[in-house]
Amino acid sequence: MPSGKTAILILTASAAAMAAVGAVSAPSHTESVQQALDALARNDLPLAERLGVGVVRSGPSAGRAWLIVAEARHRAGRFTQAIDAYRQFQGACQSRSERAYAAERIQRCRREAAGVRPVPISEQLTAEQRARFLVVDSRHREHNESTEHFIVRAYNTHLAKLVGRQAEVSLERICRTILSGQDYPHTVEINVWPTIKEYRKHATSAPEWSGGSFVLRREEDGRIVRRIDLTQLDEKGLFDVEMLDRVLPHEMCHLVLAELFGEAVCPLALDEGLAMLAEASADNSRIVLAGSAMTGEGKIPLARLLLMERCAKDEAAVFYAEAFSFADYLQSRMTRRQFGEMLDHVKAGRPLDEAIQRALYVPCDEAFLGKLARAWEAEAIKQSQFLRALDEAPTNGS
Amino acid sequence: MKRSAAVLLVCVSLLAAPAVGDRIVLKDGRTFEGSVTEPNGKVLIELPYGTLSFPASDVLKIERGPSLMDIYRGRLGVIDRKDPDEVTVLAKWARDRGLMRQADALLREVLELDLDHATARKLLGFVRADGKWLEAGEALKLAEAKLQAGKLDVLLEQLLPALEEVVENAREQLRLKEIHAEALLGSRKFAEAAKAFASLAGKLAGPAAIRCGAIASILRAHPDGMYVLSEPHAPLAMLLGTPAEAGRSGPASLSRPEVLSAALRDEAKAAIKTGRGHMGEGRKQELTEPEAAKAKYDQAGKAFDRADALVPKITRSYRVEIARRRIAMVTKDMNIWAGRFDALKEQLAKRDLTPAAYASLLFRMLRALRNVQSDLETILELATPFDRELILEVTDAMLRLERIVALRKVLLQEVRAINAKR
Repeated sequence: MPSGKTAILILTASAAAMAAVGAVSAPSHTESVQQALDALARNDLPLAERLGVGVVRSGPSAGRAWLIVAEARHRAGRFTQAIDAYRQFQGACQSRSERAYAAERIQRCRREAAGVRPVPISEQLTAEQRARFLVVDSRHREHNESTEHFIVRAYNTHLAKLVGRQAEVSLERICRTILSGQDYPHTVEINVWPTIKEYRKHATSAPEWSGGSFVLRREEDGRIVRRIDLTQLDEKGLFDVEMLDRVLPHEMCHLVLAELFGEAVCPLALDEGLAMLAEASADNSRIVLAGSAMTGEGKIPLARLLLMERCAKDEAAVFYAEAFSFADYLQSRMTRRQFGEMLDHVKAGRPLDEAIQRALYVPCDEAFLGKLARAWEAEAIKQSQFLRALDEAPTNGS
Repeated sequence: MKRSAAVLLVCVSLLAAPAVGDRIVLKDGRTFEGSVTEPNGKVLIELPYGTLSFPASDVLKIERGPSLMDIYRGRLGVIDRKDPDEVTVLAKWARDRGLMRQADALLREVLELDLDHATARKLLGFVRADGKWLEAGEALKLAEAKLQAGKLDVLLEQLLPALEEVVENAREQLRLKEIHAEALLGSRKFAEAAKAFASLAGKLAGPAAIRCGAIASILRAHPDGMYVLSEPHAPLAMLLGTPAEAGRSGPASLSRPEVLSAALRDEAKAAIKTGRGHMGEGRKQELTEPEAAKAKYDQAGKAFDRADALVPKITRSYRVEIARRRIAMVTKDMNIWAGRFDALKEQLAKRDLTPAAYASLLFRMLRALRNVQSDLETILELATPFDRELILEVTDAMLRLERIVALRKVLLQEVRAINAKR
């Protein structure tokens, strides 16, 4: 029991405490949003999420803060919860561009949740399946398989089905990269010829050394032919898995680019680089070669690479390696919107350096190409050195 | 105590000083006090509310009063020159009456007596900051530095209010308002910052006004100060530097300068898209309606002006493209006139002409050349701002222009000779 004097003291102290609480008023809506944004900028994700949730609970007009919550969850790798929050934000926000941003992030969450690049089909095939794809059914010359975008003709029913499926997978990946996610509203005929000999007989416009090719041509009757020719068996008579992993997506990418560019000219290096990027997996030998060329004498400088319309045999390997490396560099450093706009500007006839600067919405700088070349070369050398170090490193346990 | 009383006395006596100026008495008995002049037989008297004019014949008499300088000298004689407060009061009195040189001299005297005399310092345009007295220009620079360093509280609470009292130069006042608006934004007072930028937009002109207006509207559209970056805020860093330098996309505070820059870039993007739309329409009309195409390119140019105001020089490549397209259009017109000139020249060689017909032919040739010249001048006008990108066009037009001028000279001499014979 406190004495009278103590009671007065306690009362005074508690009054002072109350006054102090009253003096530190609760932060305003704007202050709370800003605190949450600060936490997000510091990458303090739990705090950003907690503060963001606090804001959205403060009233119906505070729904924009769902984006902070979503971003924090996304960065923390909690994709499903992030998608929920992005959706809440979409429901609360008025701006079309902000809603589009949230939609793009939802797609991204889904991709990230699904994991990294899918395993190439060749690595998924069993020995039994490979053996099945060796069969050439000459009696029933053509086995047709139709998918949303493709009509596949092959000498093997199973192969026709597999090519159809893989073609759709490849097209989806290419559209996402090159057409900024737009659909490819055409039907393409795919012929899988049983042997190289048959392929050369039918794909008459293809170069002699090729194992696959594409055709985009307007016929006299106005019909447009979209066709990809492939081979089932390689020169040794084995099932050509490269056809599925590399040749099919590569030729399809050329076809999509040819369609996109129409009469306009796409620099060869960009065309080939993108086609190689479309392949199911990266060919590390290209990365190593590109990096080696940068440090050695065989380097093709970027300014020349972009102007090349064909390449001599002795330069071909470096040309393809650098084209792949450069396309990969651009694609990994630009957003889809930027990459798509860059292609639009190239299509409209702008030189690549100007097209890139326009797509980035930065003032054009005469020295840009030189700066870009230096940055790309540095990265290519770094990647090449990394891969070589991996190769040279002793493996554990074997 | 004694000193205070003396200061008070001086103040009262200054306030109670007689009205400065002259007095006129009109023949009808009315009197006016002010500053009298007598141009061209008239008597003008300048009063606080305007100037009255009377014919000299209406004026009975003019009584000249003591001049401002007389009063000033009188006051100077009675104050204690060793007392900084007394001297300051007189300096202020002099300033209020437009005796700026005298006031400044007195204030300098005060500083000799007391270096830290706050009133004298303020009247002389000094601002106290970081324990030092700084002239307005230096203080403005300090304010800019504090803004850059993010020392916004001291800026908003001390330095800027002090500067507001002393900055008189209109350009410096505007810069002060800009710093104030930016400091408000940095301090996350978004609504106040929006008002400050809107007010600046009204006071500034050209690109600066567009930029401030855009900032005000961005802040009004995002009252919580949260902006959604759809892309990393430093797009060049992604390609030329490292992704870490480029920053992340996503929600971010508009109080961060890089986020505001990204927001302005988004506004510029929208303006560029509008401009590109006009360019596309213009391109379609080039062949059939060149004037309409030109108008579309002008519209595109206006959209690009806005984009350039938001991100300097962002549209140069589009402007070069427009210049190229317009040069191609003008070249087409020029080629028609050049063709006409060549056809007329052929007539000159083939026909046996009368002197009158010969003269007429020469005039028509001159007209064709004049049009070619005018087209070439237009090409030069279009290409010269982009002489780095359009060096071929500029060189070609200059060489052709030289030839045309020489040809015209020859033709004009011939015309003069014909006229002389007539």
